[in-house]
Amino acid sequence: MKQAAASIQEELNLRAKEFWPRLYRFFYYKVQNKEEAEELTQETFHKVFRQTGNDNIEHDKIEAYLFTSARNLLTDLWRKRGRRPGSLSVEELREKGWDIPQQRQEVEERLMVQQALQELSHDYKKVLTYRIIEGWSVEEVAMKMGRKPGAVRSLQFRAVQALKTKLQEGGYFDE
Amino acid sequence: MNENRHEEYIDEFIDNLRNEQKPAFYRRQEQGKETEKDAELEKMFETVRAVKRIKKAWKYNTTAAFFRSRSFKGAVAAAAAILLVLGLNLFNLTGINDGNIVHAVVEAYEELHSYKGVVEIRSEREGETEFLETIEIKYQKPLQYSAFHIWNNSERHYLSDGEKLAIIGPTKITVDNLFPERELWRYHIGTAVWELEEAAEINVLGKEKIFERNTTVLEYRFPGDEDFHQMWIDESVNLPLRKVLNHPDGSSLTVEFKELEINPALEEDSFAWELPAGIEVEELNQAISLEEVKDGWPEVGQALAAAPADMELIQAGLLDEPFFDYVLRFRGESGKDFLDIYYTTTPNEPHFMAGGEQGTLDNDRVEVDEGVQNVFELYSGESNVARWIKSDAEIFIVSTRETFQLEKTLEEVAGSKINWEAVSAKTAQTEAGEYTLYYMEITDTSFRLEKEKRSFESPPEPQELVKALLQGPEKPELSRIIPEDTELLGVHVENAVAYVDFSSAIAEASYGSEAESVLVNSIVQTLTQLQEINAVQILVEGETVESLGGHISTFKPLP
Repeated sequence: MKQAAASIQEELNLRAKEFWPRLYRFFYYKVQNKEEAEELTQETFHKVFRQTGNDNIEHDKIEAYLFTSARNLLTDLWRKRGRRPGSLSVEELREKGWDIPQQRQEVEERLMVQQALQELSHDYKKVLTYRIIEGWSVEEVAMKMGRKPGAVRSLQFRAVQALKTKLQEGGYFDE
Repeated sequence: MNENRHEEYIDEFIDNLRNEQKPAFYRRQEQGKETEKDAELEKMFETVRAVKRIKKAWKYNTTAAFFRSRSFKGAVAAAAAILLVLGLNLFNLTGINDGNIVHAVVEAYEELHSYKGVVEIRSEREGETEFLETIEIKYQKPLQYSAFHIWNNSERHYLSDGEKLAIIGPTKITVDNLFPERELWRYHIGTAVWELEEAAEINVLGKEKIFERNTTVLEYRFPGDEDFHQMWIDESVNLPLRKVLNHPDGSSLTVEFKELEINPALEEDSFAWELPAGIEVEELNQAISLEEVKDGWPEVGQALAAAPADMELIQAGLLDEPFFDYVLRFRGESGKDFLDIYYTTTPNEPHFMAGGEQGTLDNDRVEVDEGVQNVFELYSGESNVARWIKSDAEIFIVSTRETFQLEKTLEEVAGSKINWEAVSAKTAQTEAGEYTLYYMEITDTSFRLEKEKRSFESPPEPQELVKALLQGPEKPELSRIIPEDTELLGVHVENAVAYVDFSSAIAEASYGSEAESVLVNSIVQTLTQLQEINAVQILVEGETVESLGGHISTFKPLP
C-alpha cells in the first residue's frame, strides 16, 4: 500500500507537466486572474499529494481524481464567497474528455455575454470594453472618454449592474 | 449593501483582475477583515469576469496590458516560487523582458532624428519570391526623405521636402502636394516601432545574428488578429532591422535593412527640392488656402473648430480622387499622431467599412470603426475612422486618436449629439405599396448601387424582396448583382435581424471590393427598409461566413 501511494506521487510528479497547464487553464477561466489560478492549481496538487499518502486510487484514475479535487476546491471556494452551490453544476469537469464540453460551454457563455454587451448603451459598452477587455486604468479611460475619474467609476458600476441584470435574465447564473 | 461601497469594490475588483492579482476583497475576507457576503455583489464580480473572458486568445505569458501591470514582477516571483515547490520548469519565462524591449525600442526611436540605409522589400509565397524592391534611403524627422527605389530594372526617386512628394521617373515626374508620407510608411523604421507599440501580444523567440549584427527576435500580434509577425531588433541601437508580416493566405512580406546608420551626418542639401529639368510634371492634389476650401465647403470653419485643441492644422487640400473633394490635415506632437478630415458633396455608400458601430447625428447616419487597416491604401497600418453621411455631403475622419475623440469632433461639427440607440435611420421613404429594390449600375469606371421602385399590393414579406432581387431589375441599364445560379434557401426575422440564407454560389463568384460593396448593400438596404428589420445577417448554406468576397465582413449582422 505504501508502495502504491509513493508511485502515485511519482506519477503525479512525472505527469505534472501535462496536468499543470490544464488545471491552470481551468482555474484561470473561472477566476480570471493569474495569482488565484496559480494558488488554486498549487493547492490542488498539494491536496492530492497529501491524500494519496493513505489512499490507494488506481493509476489510470489519477487524472479524474485530480480534476475532481480541483472541482471540489472551487465549489468550497464559491460557497465561502456566498455563491449558491447550485450554480456549480455548469462547472462540472467531465472525467473523460472534459476539454471539449468545457470549450463548447465557454463558447456559448462568451456568445451570451457578447450579445448582452451589445444590448447595453453605447457608453456602458465603451467603459466595460476599455476597463475590462482592454485593461486601461480609470484615469486613462477618463481621458479617453472625456470624463472625470469619479464619473468613470460610477459609470462602470452602473454598466456592470446593467450587464448583470441582462445576464441574469438570460439565465447566466442559473442551474 | 451600500452603493458607494459597492462602487469601490467593483472598481477595485476590475483593477485586481487587470493586474492579474487575487482580488483584494477576497484577501480581506480570508483575513476576517471583510464581513460582507453578498450574493448580488458576487454576481457583479462574476459579470466582470464574464466580460474579461471575452478577451479572445488570451495567453498568460505576455500581453501588452500585462506589461503595464504593476504586479508583473510579483506575478513572476509567485510563479517562480511554485516552480521551486514542485521542482519543475512549467512556464516559459523568456517573456520577462519583452516589455522592456518595447520600451527600449520606443525610446530609441524618440532619440532618432535621421537615418540612412539600404532596405529590401520582398514578398514571398510558398518560398517563391513574388516581388523584390531595393531602396536606398536618407530620412530626417519628421518627414523629409530621399529614396531611390529599384525593382524589375526600373528605378524611381522619391523625394520629400516634408510637405510634398516628388516621384521622379525617367519620363515622368508626379508631385503629390498633400501626402508626402505615402510611400515612406511602407518600410519606415517608425512604422515598425508603432506596430510593436500597438501589438496585443509580444513574445521573445530568441537571438540571431543578421547582417553582422546581434538581434533579438520577437513575434507580435495585432489586437483582434490571430497571425503572428516577426521582428528582429538590433541590440546595439534597439531599433528594428527586419520584420516579416505574415498574411493568412500563406504569403509573407519582409522588410529588412541590409545597411543602417542611425543619426548619420547628412549633407545639407539632401532633401533640397530640385526636380530634373525637361521631364513632364504631373501635379496630384493641391495644397490650398482655407479661403479656397470655403468655396466648396462653406462650413469648413466648424470642422476647424471641432478638431482636437492639441493638434495643429498643417495643410488644407483639394483632392484629385473620386471619393472626396477636400482634406484638412492635423498633426499632434508625436510623428504618428494625426487626424485628417475629408469632405465631399457627393456622399459615398454606407457600409464603406466593414464592421464598426452605427448611430445617427441630426438624423443622418454615422459610422465609426476602430483599427481599420490601410485606409484608402494611404494610411499604412491601423487607423480609426468615423464618417457622417448626410444627404448632400459627407465628412470622413481618419486618425490615430481614439474613436471617442473622432465622435466628439463629428458632434462638434454638427452641434448635436450622436444618437447610438437609433441605429436604423430608414433611408428609403416607404409609401403605401411602393418599395425600393437596389441593383447594380455599371458605369465606365465603376459599379454603383442604383434604386428601382417596385409596387407591391400588400406590404411585402422579406423573402419577396430578396426574390425580386434575384429576379433582376426591370430597367435595362441596371444589372442584378447576385450571381445567376444563387438560390434563396430561406429568410427569417429574429430580434429585428433578418437572416438571409443563400446557396453557396453567392460566395463562389469573385468580386472586387466595389462589386462586393454593391452586392452586400443591395441586400442590406433592400431589406432594412422594412419596419421590422434593422439589420441583415447574410448566411451561406445556413452558416455565417467571414465574407462573400474577402473585402466586407459578413460575420455579424449589417445594419
